[in-house]
Amino acid sequence: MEFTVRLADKNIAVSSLFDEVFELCRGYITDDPADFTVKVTSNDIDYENALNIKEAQIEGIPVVDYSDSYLETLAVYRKIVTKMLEFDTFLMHGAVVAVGDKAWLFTAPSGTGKTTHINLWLKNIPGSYVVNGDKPLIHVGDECTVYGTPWAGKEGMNRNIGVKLCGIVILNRGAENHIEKVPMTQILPVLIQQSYRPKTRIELEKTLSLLSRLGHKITMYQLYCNMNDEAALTSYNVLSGADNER
Amino acid sequence: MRLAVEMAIMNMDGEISAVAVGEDSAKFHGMLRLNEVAADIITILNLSRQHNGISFNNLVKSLQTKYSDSTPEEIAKITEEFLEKLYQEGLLIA
Repeated sequence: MEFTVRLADKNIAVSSLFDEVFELCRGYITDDPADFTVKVTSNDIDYENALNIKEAQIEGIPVVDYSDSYLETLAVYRKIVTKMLEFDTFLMHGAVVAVGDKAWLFTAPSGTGKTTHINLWLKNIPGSYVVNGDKPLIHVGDECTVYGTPWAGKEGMNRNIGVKLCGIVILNRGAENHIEKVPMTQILPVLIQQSYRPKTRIELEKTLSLLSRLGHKITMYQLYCNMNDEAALTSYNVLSGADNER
Repeated sequence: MRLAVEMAIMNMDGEISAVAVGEDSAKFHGMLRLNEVAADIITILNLSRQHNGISFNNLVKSLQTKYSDSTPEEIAKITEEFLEKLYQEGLLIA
């Protein structure tokens, strides 16, 4: 089926084999003319399946037998994200929470507690909302903007908006709650690991260049936190009060 | 010798890093911090991947054209040390 979605201020015509990707993107459909097109083939789905098996083997976890229609949703986003590099936009794995018109991205390896932490924000910080729970797009322009997308993790937390990105927080588990500013070079390996790394050197170097530009525009933090309500207050008080605009 | 995977170079405020490209990049977690010579070595190794790699002597000769104020022995020593690191990381194939 064919439809057009609007993501990160670009209209993307999608040609898919199954309905699942359309259902996923329902909140992002537009009738406006497309800026570019992505088309998925059975080879793309086979590639996602092979990658799923390979990653499970590398991580030493059981292989999950995903349906072709689900794998197609991954293939579509991979194509969109790769093309988005041409518009100075890239994907960083993480949960984005916002208050008003300012957003912060919390990133960490899976299982560290990103979702737990942003749920603490939703519970304790009035006016807070989730922009994207897992795979936001970040545009690096004069300002940095982070966008909700339908690709938002198991919980599917997302909102079809773009919000000014004011900081990136590396989240670590800790007994006490503590947050501090860090130089980007100190956390670069984590940021690279959490960013989508395209298949070619040229595309990867573009991603790294966007990361580098991002590092000059927003503040980076390291957060150590537990699962108590105080964790959200600790991070929010510093992030909202900090001079995030360089 | 040749690189096991192609490497992308990042230069942030003079701090140079290399990151493995492609599906196998998951094997090489994180990134390598590089000095200027090491970055040049990676660049030459990237280029030579298309030609089945490069010999140690030719690599040193290539570097000598840029670092003409260093002796061939100095360049060879620096190159050897960095290549050893790449071998240990599994990034270089003999």
